[in-house]
Amino acid sequence: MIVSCTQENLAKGLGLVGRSVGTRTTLPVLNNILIKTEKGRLKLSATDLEIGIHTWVGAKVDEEGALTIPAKLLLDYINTNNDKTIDFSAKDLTLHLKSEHYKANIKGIDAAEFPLIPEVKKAESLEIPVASFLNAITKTLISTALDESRPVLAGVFFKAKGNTLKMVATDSYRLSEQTVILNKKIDNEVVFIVPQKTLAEVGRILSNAGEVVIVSAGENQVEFKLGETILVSRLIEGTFPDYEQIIPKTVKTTVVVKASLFSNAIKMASLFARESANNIKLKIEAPDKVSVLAVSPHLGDNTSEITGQVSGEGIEIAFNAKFLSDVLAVINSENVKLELSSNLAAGLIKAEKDNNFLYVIMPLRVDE
Amino acid sequence: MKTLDEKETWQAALGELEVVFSKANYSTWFKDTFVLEIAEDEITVGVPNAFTKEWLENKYHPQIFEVLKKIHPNLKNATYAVATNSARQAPKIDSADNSDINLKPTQSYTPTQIPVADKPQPAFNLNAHYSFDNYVVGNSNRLAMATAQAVAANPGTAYNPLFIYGGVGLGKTHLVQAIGNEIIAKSPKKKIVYVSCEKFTNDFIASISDKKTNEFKKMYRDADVLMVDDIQFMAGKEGTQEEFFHTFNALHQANRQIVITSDRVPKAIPQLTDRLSSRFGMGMVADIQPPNLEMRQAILRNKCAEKQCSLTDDVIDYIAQNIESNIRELEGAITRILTYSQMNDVLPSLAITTKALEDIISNKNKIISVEKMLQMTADFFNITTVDLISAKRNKELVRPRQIVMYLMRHEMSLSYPKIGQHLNKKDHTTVIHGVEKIEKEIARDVELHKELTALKEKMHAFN
Repeated sequence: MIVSCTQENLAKGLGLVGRSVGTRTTLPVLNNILIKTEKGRLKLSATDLEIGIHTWVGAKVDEEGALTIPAKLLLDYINTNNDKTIDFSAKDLTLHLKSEHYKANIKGIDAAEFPLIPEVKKAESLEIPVASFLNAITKTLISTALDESRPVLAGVFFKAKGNTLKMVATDSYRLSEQTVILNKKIDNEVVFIVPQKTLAEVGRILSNAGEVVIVSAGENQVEFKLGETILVSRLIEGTFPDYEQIIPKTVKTTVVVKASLFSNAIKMASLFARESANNIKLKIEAPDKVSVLAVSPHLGDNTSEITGQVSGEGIEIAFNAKFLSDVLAVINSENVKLELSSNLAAGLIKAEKDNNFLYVIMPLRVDE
Repeated sequence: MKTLDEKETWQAALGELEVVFSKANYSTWFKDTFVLEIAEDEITVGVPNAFTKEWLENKYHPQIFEVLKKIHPNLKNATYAVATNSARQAPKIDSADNSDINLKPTQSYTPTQIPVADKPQPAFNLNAHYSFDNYVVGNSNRLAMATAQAVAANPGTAYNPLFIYGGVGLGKTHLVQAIGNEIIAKSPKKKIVYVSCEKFTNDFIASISDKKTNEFKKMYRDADVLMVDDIQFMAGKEGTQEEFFHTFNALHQANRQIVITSDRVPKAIPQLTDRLSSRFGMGMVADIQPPNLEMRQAILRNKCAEKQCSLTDDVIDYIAQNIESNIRELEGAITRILTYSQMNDVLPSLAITTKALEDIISNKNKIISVEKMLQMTADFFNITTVDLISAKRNKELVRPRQIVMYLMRHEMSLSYPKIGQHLNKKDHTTVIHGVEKIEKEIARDVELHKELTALKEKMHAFN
């Protein structure tokens, strides 16, 4: 293999795949990045056997070849190298790197040892605008379950039909649903569950620009394609719970508050709520009074009064502060709307002017 | 039969494959694999993910096929499929998963209390579970119960301070917390401070190092009811004792109720200043003795009702007979039996009970050596073993000697002549006299009864 490539392209490519390298693994080759020439370009691949990722970078290929190189060493070396172009050649499982000022030899492992990243047999592909996909990822990831006791809840549920995609996540205390409009209509309904770790990784890649992402799910596997990068991951097996039944239908109290004020009040209350499992209380009275309270037997108590528009009955309801602050951090709207029905029933939080996102949150039961 | 076959096949194959491949490769690619299906001439291998499938299919297939063919000579083909072992055992995983997400607050959260500002001061560390209603009363604790109820009815005036003492696990804490809960239920505005002695000590130390002694004083001296558990741990802590002395005086003068528990009478707490021990004794001193058999049975029945389980009479009798001195252990025994019967999916019969409680009870009945018993008795009465078995007839030696005879007779079932031999060749009639004397006195001498109980407890604990 004899190739030359700009430092900039190489650093960018390695940055994309480098994170997917396996860390806690018994198989040494999983710590490596596969470098391979392919159709006049350089293909970089990494995998931890759950997620596999390929990216292609432009390069001048003089001789075809492939080798795997320890990811961390290569990444750090290329990032600190400030020469413009780097030439490299592989011989006897060693990669020779040469640039204007620097020379290095890095020992690698045979490319044949590198895991084969499975190809996804595509049935239906979803074309999603990057901006709205990224938005949906941030809003749903907050609600995924962190423990793996119910595997289906440790991921985000995708349900696509016609030209809409619904992404849903719940940890059984709260639920996020974001509707995304697809660029192209699809013929058949598709449903699948993507592990949260995969989606977090996809989100990271997406934030490096691009316009459209193509998501294709096959049996057991899903592929995300963004420009010159492809990420392949396992899917979570199982059926996502029938979540629509728990989205509240009745509303007795509607409150519109300024998100920044509300978020600040919750932050202050949660300082006092730490001891009592983050329990804070909202006291809502028409026409415009919203109080956020927290009491700690040892620390003291706090009350914040913010104004909002209240319509319907007054209510007192307790929530886990974290579940509120989580959603306020990502909701991205000047005003938020709370729809409540009783202090034991699920409440609904929406952005004031956006009906595509909803957040269901369970109240805490308060013993009076 | 078939499942066994599948399992065996793959076990045999894995055994060979382990030798063929390096350890790292083997553990990476063959972890969580199994045989999904064996047909006439085809085997399907289940693999945990698509990566493994690709790898086995494209790289290791020749080796795997070769190994499998050795085991099943008719084999023509081997295929690989992504599947999980658990999915195979419970193929209908989705139907179960589908039904159960309905975010009800009762299901999603353990009910937690939010104290709100305008509500009464929350009672400190009181466990609402402890009430007078679920406290089993018998001869051994009637006095303590009656005084506790009187105190709860008229805090500050009935008996102040109330000093409750008794051995480990006999319900001191239960009684004290019940007083607190009762007072709170009647007058929610009262400030009740319930602390362990350790907490009081720690708070005191912290208040000094944080220079917040005023807050400390306010916290304790504003209490309407101050309850301190296990005061004997204050022994030797002079600074804490002094602070407690002042707190005690401040509260007592203001007619606020003080309740104290300990494992022994005030006078018997070592290194406790006289002014404190005399103050502890100036109100009411009530003791809790280990429950008798009938009471233990009643307690067991009570606990069963609480746990909503039913144990047969012979099981309850058995537990009550064998666990004598500690109520906490009675409860532990029930839990143990229930867990045991649930785990093994059997009804808690007497046989099961014996089995489940094997290690707890056999410990109790284990007999300690004669030497150890002599040693412990001598230690208990602060005399030497030599004096204990000597022929000296001082009063302070005779009584322990008779007690040890009694214990040897009743706890170890030794014969009278044998006991005599152990006690420096005493005549067996001397022994009979000694044992009978203790037997007679035990009925009317409370102190003796207490000493014997304490001594027995020590010997059991030693086991």
